[in-house]
Amino acid sequence: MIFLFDANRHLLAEIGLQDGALRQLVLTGAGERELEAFVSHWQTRGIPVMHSMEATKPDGTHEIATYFSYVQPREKGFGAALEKWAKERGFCPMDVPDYLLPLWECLARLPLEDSERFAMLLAIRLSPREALAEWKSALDESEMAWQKEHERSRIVLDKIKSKMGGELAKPFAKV
Amino acid sequence: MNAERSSPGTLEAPRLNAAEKGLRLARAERTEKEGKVLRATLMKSANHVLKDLELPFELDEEDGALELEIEADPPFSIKQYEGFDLEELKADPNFRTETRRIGSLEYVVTERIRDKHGVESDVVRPDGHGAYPGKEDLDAALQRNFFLAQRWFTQDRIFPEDVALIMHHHHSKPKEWLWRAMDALLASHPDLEPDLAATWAAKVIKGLTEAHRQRRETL
Repeated sequence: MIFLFDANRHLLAEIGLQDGALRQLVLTGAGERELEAFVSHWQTRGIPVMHSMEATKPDGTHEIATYFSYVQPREKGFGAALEKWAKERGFCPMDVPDYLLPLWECLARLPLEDSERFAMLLAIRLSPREALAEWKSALDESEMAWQKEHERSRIVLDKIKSKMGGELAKPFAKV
Repeated sequence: MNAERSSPGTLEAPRLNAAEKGLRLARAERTEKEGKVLRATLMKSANHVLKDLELPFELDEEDGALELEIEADPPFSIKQYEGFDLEELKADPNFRTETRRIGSLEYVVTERIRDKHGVESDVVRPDGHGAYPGKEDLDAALQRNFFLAQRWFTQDRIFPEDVALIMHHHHSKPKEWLWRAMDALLASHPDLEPDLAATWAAKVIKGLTEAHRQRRETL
């Protein structure tokens, strides 16, 4: 799976690949705004890959030609082309192996900023595989701590609501 | 419903009373508290995982947010790159495509010369990086870097391939900078061989991109 982030570390898309070809592509809200036009272009024409070619002419001068080739989503080279395309445009593609997806799901449940989620995922991805079980415990522990605090918040807020009672309903009272 | 109309067709939200304001404040405070608890737990347990691994990074907190401090270069690089389709733009009358020559090197540059309404405009790069640097910028940069370039040149040589690399990869406006650097060098040193001017210009640009990178890191 490739996760595509923008330069501000907002998640734009989750891209599933099979043997290098596109299997599925899910855009987030931000991804829809930033990538929708590109994605429809990929579907109709393919993803553009820039190539540079240098040649030496008989008179000894060098010439650099730049051209594009297009890779279709169902072709095996799509994943590589997508990574290249994304890096060239300042996006941040991150290859996330399937065995990390349960940890990503834990991260996605936590109310973190996008950049924080990106940093955590990067840390997990850079860690050796034998550390993953510990990462899972760390994330579970954090989720539990947060849920406990969230429950406390609910109780506190319920108390405030009942204390204020009728005051809160005033703006909505029928005239 | 207690709604107010300030003008025909405009429906305003009901004004908040003190109770609603108090509740919102309490809710915001609780959310902040929850965030603090979550981040503190996450950082503590994550750093515990990372402690014995001797990895080149650590998790840190800055302004209430978790950040990954990476000692080595991250495993990806974000390049400013010219991401436009030259083939498509060749047929567009609002763009000018021309072949330029620096010493023994030729390259093609594509620039927007008219806006979308066909009105002639300042040259704007198709990839949206904005206008080119002013001549004054370049002169100032050259003054700072020219002697440096000369010193570098006595030590090693940058080949046209390096020039091409710099033009294509290193900066958001590399071609125009290089072109202007070449112009300025040839104007001030009419006897300079074009190849040598390309080499010097490349050194100047390389110095500029490095200075630019350092400035960005400092910021």
